[in-house]
Amino acid sequence: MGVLTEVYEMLNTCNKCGGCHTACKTYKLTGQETMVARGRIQLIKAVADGKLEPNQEYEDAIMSCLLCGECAVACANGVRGNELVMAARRDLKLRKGIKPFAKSFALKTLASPKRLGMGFSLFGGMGKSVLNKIDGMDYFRGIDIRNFPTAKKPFLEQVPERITVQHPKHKVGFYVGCFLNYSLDQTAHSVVKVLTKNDCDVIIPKDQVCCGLPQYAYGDFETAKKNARKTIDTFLDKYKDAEVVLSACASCASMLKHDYLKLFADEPSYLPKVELFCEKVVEFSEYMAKIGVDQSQLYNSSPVRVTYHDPCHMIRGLKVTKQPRQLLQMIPRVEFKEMFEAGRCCGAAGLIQAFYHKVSTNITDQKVQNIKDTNADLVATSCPACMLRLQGGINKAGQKQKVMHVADLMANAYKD
Amino acid sequence: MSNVNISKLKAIVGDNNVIDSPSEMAKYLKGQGKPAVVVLPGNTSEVSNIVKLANEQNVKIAVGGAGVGTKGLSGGIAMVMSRMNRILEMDHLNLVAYVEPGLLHKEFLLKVGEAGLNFPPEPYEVETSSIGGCFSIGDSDSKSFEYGPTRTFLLGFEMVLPTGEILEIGNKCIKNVSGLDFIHFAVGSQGTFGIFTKLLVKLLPAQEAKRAVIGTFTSIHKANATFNTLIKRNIQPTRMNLLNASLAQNAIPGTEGQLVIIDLQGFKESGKNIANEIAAVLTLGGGTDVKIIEDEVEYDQVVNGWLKVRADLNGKPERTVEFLVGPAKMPQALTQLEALTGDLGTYPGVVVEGLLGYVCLALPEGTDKLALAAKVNRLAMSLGGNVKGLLGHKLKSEAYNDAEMWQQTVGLLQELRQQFDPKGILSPGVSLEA
Amino acid sequence: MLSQTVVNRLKEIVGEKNVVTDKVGLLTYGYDGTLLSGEALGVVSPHTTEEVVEIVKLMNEHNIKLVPRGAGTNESGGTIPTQDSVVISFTKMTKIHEIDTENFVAVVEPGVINFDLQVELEKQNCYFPPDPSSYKASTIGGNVGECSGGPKCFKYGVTRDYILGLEVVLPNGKVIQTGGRNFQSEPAYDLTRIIVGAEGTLGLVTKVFVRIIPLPRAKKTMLAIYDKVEDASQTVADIVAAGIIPTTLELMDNLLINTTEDFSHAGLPRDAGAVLIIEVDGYPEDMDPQVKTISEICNKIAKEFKIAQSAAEVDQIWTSRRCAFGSVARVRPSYGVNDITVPRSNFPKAIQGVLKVAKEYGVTIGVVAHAGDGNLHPLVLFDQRNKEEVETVHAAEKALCMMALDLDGTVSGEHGIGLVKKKYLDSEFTPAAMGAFRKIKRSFDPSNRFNPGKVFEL
Ligand SMILES: Cc1cc2nc3c(=O)[nH]c(=O)nc-3n(C[C@H](O)[C@H](O)[C@H](O)COP(=O)(O)OP(=O)(O)OC[C@H]3O[C@@H](n4cnc5c(N)ncnc54)[C@H](O)[C@@H]3O)c2cc1C
Ligand SMILES: Cc1cc2nc3c(=O)[nH]c(=O)nc-3n(C[C@H](O)[C@H](O)[C@H](O)COP(=O)(O)OP(=O)(O)OC[C@H]3O[C@@H](n4cnc5c(N)ncnc54)[C@H](O)[C@@H]3O)c2cc1C
Repeated sequence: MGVLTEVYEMLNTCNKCGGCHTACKTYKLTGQETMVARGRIQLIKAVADGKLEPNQEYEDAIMSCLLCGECAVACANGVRGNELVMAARRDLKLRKGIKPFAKSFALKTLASPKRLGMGFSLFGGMGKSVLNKIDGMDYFRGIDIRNFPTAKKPFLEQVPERITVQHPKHKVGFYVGCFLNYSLDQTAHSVVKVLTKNDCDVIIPKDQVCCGLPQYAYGDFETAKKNARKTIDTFLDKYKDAEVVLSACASCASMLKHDYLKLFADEPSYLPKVELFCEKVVEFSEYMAKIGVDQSQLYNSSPVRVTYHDPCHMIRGLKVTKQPRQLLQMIPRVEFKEMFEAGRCCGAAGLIQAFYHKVSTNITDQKVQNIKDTNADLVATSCPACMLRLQGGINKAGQKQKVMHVADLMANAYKD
Repeated sequence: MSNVNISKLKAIVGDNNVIDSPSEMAKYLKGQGKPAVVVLPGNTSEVSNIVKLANEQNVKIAVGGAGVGTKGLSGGIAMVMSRMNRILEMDHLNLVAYVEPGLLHKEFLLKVGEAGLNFPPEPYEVETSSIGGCFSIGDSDSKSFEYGPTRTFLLGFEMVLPTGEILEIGNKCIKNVSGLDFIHFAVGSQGTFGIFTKLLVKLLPAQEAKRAVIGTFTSIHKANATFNTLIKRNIQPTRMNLLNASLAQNAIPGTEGQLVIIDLQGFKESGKNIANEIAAVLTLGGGTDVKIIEDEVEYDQVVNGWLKVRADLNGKPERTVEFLVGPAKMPQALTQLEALTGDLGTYPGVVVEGLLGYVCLALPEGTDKLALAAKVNRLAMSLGGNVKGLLGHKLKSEAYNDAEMWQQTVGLLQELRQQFDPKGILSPGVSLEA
Repeated sequence: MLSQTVVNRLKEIVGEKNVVTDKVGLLTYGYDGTLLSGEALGVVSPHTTEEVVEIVKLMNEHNIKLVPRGAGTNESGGTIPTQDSVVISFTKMTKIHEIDTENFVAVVEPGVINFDLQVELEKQNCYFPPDPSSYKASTIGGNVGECSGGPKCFKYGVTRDYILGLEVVLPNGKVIQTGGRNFQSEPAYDLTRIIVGAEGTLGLVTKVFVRIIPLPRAKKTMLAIYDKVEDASQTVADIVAAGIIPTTLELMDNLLINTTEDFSHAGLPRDAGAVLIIEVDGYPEDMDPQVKTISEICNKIAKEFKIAQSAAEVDQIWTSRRCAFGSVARVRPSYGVNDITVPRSNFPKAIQGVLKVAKEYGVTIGVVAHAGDGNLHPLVLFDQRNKEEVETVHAAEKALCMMALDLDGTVSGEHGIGLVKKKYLDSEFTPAAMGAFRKIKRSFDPSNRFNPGKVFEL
């Protein structure tokens, strides 16, 4: 009960006003009180008070949360539903381990680089050809597996550890993250290109591991900590000269920058180092906007209409919203068009797309409609998980928009 | 034969206020019924005592402002409220007034006006209506789009129930959701729940600016089309009404053609521009003699002309059919209506209240009202509307072939009435059957 | 416990997924915006009127009571399952059947969230004036149930004024339609009016015909800051006397100024006694003269007065008000929201009364108020874990209600009675009035099956 005791003050501050109702996509879709922060919080409180024994229904309520954080923004009382759900997941894990599916398939896989590589290639490569043979198996739990891209070779194996430029002004440590490494390696290349075009030396440690977010989100703090410690030590000890630790994945960045602090809150001896690390972490768009992009180098021959999707970890985690839009609008002939509810979750939400795929698919469908309404040609965003989810949804709806990372759009705007 | 004990009545209200000679009674009575007596109570406890007496003797009572409808009242008591006609309080800070029910609406308006205030509900019988009668009938008028229907202006009341018990409810708060909303539910109950003896009404600040725009048209359809243009242009005046040619001359003598009257109250600075815009719309829509009226006397003449026409129609409920379809559906409604009525321009009477999407038809001599109403209702329903009120509900249920809905509705109405008035003492002339 | 037969039958009616009988599910339908809670026998979520009818009939056969529920944001315990009852949740009846701006009507199902309707209406340049502060969560059915108000009531009235008609399932399982799409559609008695604000005790609303109106063309927002609450009240009185009906006259007292400042840093002076947000709307040409009059009035007594010049400034003015409720939660974790209302002229006395109650009971009370309506929201701060304190708060809230009644007001201006204020009704109403309520309830629901025990005992 220790975990819940820690957050009890916040549990107690929920006044049940329902302010989180519109903020919550899972509630909007189901209309069920177990599927909204207010309900989840009251359940967690009941568990904390010993009035409820966690059971399957409780677990569903806790596990189906997107952790998008919108309820926290909406709550006048300052209750952060997503954090409470995290605490409840942690509590569940301590009580009885994690849901089998999550445990075996996803979390363990992500925790080990070797298995991770296999996992991605299963989805994208070999597995794909098998699935292709099964009629109608285009979408596995709403995930567009046929089009799930896989890097032929992990990005980290494609590039040297240090990439230097002629007149370096900055020295950037690049935390690549699993998705860019195994799946969207082109985007990782784009990041490197944009950085080097703007006079940055890039350091890409080969031995970087998963940031630990998936484990953290499902309450497995032990594994998350192991990965976090490795990441911190790698960048702070081995690659001290990196001025910043840059991530082009909003989720990783948010984990590195904010959640590491919480993760190590109980380790005062290590905490100062974590603080040092967190201060260095910066998200791609945020960094580019800060150091300034030389607009005169950007080139684009055909007009294009672009809209932007704010990933949850970007808008509510890192609170970065202006910079990606600024960067996009620096590209010549880009007509920028806001979509309705740009800041709302796309449905990917970590493993939700696998566990609660119906809810997730419905959420994605709404997002795809909002994209359609803008008449945009391109959807830019800042998180690879969103990119894959959105592209899948768009394809499924038979729409034509292409989803790209902000870095991809920028990289394409350099002549060579 | 009547059970009414005249001397007991006299003991309650005083000899002078009990009238039982038929010739003298006549001036207080409406209709063919023959009540035994007319009483004029002077205060609440008198009303209560009369009702208690009626209960003891099992006689019926009907109430009226200045005159009492006598339907079903033979042998009963006609209660005239005209002696209870005081304004008990005019509260500027809270914009409310306490008034007695027998006060004539027109006198109240005068006093309200002198106080720099406004009481929007406008009964159709502007000359004779009492405040008690206004709230007993409820209803909306052509200004209701802006101000809301009559009930909007009731905050509370004192009422003598059919048992003689005195009920007080409400307060000067403009927001009040305590208990069930009997306050507004009583509006329109036509004296079946009880007799109002005091009313707490809501007032508004007076409208400082008043303007009207009038114009005449050769075609009623063209005249009506201008309303749709105005709504499309996002203009919502205070009133937006149309009288067909037969009625127009009664409103403004000498008018030829279909008359459009648009009233603008309270648009202090914007009124000039809006009036110009309206005038332009009327002219472009084919209106002639389009005129913006800013002179106070002339404005009053126009409004009074309108009210007079409405009062005339109201006097003949058996000769009118009223329906509503919503403002934007009106052009279709009028066109389709002509298939039933022939040319509307020369029909005995057509009134359109454009903002409410309301039509009142004055029927030619010898028309079968119910048959026409059924047809009109079908027409209205096809456009999302219905014939007004209880009759409309009945016709609608019939059209849906939904006898159950009608039975349920009427059953509920009767159960409510029965709960309040188990002995059936009050308002025998009021039927909940349509 | 519901028998398996009933559960199976319910599942047949609404589908497996729309019947909740497990402990976790029931727990989440056992509360509302108050501290109260209860446990229903089950929760059932219909999608259509037909399903509602079937449910009512089934419940009647088994003599089980029904508690209607929208979003469960009410502040009066109106949706707490008491007695052995099944909660009928309308959150899955969310269709907007029709929006007809030219005829000024929209037809919606009861589970439509007020905000969602507003979003759709706004696209067509219209709106639905009743917008309780909970509008982002609360449903139209719930708004109808409570006859909700909001910040715009002074000019635009309350929910009652915007309901043209209803489709209602009666306690006997029959469907009626009250009113219609237009004015003057009442069947003799204005049944719509008695169901609005009846808190689900008379019938289940399955369709709502709401009146919509065009958005105002222009709006002006002003902020006045005062040394004393009385000065703010004087402004309200003066504005009314000048013949102006603002849309909004929102007041916050010193405590709220400070708690909101802690949170939003909007720049309000912490020593101010009160702030008043004033808004007028209408045609652009009519704005300036009204603003001029109001500024003359305010400048006479206010410490500071400003007129928002841009959308950003309007936003800034509203920031404090918007975070008002939440900001006090940062002082103490729980707060009780009251909605006592007094005649406008007694407003200063009511504020005095609140201070007196706070002092007498030793509790902290902040006040947010719709000053034009005389509607106060004294927020009583406490911690629900402290049972003793909870008792004190209940006593203080009772004192607030009695104070409002002494000032010729009402215990509820917009939140309804439910369970929380039921005990004060006999103080507010005479036996004759209570009798009238019971007659009405008996006419609709002689067996007391819908939301039993709410508002008053039959
Ligand atoms: C805005 C508005 C719109 C209207 N629209 C129409 C309309 O379309 N058609 C129409 O026919 N009338 C309409 N009227 C009402 C019409 O003008 C009435 O004749 C008038 O308002 C009634 O006043 P009266 O004093 O003459 O009432 P009466 O004719 O004396 O009484 C009318 C009814 O009210 C009851 N009543 C009177 N006084 C009391 C009392 N003190 N307590 C309880 N019950 C009482 C009577 O029993 C009777 O049922 C409307 C009224 C208003 C205010
Ligand atoms: C933070 C906050 C701010 C608020 N601000 C305001 C405000 O400014 N003004 C205001 O007036 N209120 C306010 N409220 C109170 C509350 O939000 C309103 O009363 C709201 O209308 C309730 O809507 P709901 O959908 O949550 O209904 P519920 O709470 O679910 O139900 C309310 C009542 O209606 C009944 N009901 C619900 N649906 C139906 C149906 N389909 N048929 C019949 N009966 C039904 C229920 O039985 C219950 O009695 C506020 C509440 C909170 C928590």
